Amino acid sequence: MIDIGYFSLCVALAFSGWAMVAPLVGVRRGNESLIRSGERAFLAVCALITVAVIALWNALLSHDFQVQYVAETSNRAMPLIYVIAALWGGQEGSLLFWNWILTIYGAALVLINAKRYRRLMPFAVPVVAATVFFFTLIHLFEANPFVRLPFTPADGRGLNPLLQHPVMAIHPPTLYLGMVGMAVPFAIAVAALWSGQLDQTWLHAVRRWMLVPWTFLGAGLLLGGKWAYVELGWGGYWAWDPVENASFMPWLSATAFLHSAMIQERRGMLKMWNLILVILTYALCIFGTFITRSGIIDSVHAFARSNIGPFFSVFLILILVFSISLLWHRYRELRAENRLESLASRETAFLLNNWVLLGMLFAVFWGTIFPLLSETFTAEKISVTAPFFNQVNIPIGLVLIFLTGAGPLFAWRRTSAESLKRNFTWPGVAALVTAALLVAAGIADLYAVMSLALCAFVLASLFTEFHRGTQARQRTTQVGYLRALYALLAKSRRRYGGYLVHLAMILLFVGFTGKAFTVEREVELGVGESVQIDDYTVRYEALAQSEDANKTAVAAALSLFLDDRFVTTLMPARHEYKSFEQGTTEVSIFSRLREDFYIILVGWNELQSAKFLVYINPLVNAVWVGGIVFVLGSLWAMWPTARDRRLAQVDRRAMQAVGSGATTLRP
Amino acid sequence: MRWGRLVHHAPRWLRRGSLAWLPLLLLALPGASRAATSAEIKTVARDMVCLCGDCSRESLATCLCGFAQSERDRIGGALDDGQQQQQIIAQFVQEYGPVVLASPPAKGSNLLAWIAPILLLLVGIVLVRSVLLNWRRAPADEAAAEPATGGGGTGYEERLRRELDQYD
Repeated sequence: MIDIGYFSLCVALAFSGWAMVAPLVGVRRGNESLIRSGERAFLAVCALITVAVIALWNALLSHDFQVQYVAETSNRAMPLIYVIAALWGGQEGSLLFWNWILTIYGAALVLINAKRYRRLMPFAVPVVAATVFFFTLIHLFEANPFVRLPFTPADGRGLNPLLQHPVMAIHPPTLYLGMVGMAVPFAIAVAALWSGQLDQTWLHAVRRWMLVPWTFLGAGLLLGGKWAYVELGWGGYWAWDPVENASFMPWLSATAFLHSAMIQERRGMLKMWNLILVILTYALCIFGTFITRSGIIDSVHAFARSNIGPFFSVFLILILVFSISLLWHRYRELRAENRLESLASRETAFLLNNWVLLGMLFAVFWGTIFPLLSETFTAEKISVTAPFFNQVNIPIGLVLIFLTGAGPLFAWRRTSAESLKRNFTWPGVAALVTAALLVAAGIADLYAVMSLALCAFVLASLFTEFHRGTQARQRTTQVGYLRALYALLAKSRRRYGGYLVHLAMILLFVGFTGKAFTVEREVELGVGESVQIDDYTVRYEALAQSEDANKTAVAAALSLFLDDRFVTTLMPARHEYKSFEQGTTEVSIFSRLREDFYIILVGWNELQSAKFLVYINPLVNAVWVGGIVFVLGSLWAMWPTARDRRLAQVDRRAMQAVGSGATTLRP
Repeated sequence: MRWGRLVHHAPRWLRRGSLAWLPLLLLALPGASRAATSAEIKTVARDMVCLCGDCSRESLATCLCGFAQSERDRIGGALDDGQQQQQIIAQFVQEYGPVVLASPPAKGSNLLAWIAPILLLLVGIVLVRSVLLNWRRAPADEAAAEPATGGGGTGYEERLRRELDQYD
């Protein structure tokens, strides 16, 4: 089975080479069948990589420890789910998994869009195929997942214990689906530039293909946060770690694109800029992979470190050189079509939105690479960690929240002074009242007050947006409020899906702001002793130790009382994994809507006492709820409408007609 | 009851693990001056990172490794001796170099770390302004108000899209 896997990788290399060349030659010669053959070759590549993935999975599940990868990332004691997850638990496997997702995306592009975007496809397919070619080269020559050991070990080493967590089983795939998926919008953008098809077509295609990975990327980031929160044991979910930053940056530029794309769609402006954003997003994804894999910058994600860094840096340079020269070549054809009528318009708001998002992106980028720059040029080692990123990004974030609320209050083209006054009144009042209440409640943290007040501003503006629309709909259709609301949301999915995502962002920001009110206490308790922290009383009951094939665990049991009433038993623990020197901290959390009571077992002194670290994290659950709303909102926005279905139907019929006759594709 | 028995059988590594924080217990012995609270220690530790080599520069205030623990104990000791936050941090910098600081000091070439983001935001806003003014100045072209169809060959897609738009 392993040999089949390796063999199919070899064949996939050849086929992806063909998929790279054939469509381009076909378009030059006007040979439709050559183009089709390239597309089919790509579908074959997808099938071949799938075979390779199945082969590796099979080796993992059958505990074939002669395969080095299997021996390194799994063992017999691991629960089934982690054996499955071991596919992306190590270097070689995760690269194969990455390539697999890429081919699936590419195949979907071919199957769904080969007809609708007929003239872009001969250029888009080779771009995706080139990426697959690159990855397959890495599989074969640098990170082969099918290498055999000269002997068969009795058992494997097992997955890194930090990764043995349910969230970890889904966080990497989600993130990969996000990062890898950006290859498709990139391919379409490059195809538009290459073929000179610079009308709206590419924009429609890219927007849809961008929305999917963008959602995965956002969800993946939050899942990573959830994992850090419950597994790393420092009471937080976001540490501005270089690898976190690396996947956050493409999300920022993709967000910028989703907004500025609307300007191009409505007004024919910012064409050049939108192409740059798509290319930048993909380049940042590759850059992120490069950072993670090369270990060039210290990170908690060091478990993926290896020597394939140079491959990615060369690849990144190729991408940039190629796209920039294309942009240069088409520069004259990318002029704005319209004139700005008023500065008080949605266009201006979107430009400012792009300014803020890219400003934040640069701040994150700069902070991430600065240690490297400093060491290279001044030979001085320095650290750039969370305090830096927080200080720089909090003010930028506040402007971003404001724009989230203010943007939708401006109309396209121009907004009259009266309507501005009308639109801003209630949100403005909501913000001021919130600020006043918070200050009256004794909250002195200026940033926290500003952040929550701005959140209230956005909430009020969102609420009026939904309310007015529903009322208008009620007037025309004479139905109940809820039905009118649903009809409104269903009628313009993109618009209201977008607003739901805004709502999610506000929930996230509320959650982030909660960090300002975290209570942290380090306590040492003897058995039977208790301590009061805020409204909670916690009593240390006992220490227990257990052992299974995989690990030894030491757990403390504590009773938690809220306002003197017993609520739950907490069991913070330390796990020591046998095949790793590293232990993990198993946090215990009592969660309620308002806040989390979060406790870590720090140390123990046999029978006498144990030391605990307690965090009370207010509002943290707003982050997770925000994450769910974010996914629902984007799903709402991208769900095919009746119009999309009609379009697909027309496509099918049109292509049946076209497919039978010879069409010339010569530009 | 079950708990207690299990603890009796705790393996040696467990007992070893417990030693890491014994120095702190010693500090609490009678005779020592007022011990710094963990909150005070963390206020100082927050400005620094853990340099144990495995923790990839986690905050010294939150890192759970033994090294960070003993470093925090050192900070506690220094606080007990009446040292100020600045003094303690300066001492750590002397020992480890500026790499121990959580964010680069705002001086010398490291000033660039702080200035560049602000500078870029300023450049950005100037660019936005010039783009907006440029658009304002562009001649009104009513013909272009309709989304233009680029090269001639896109007829099918564009026509289809327009027709479908009229449906809605």
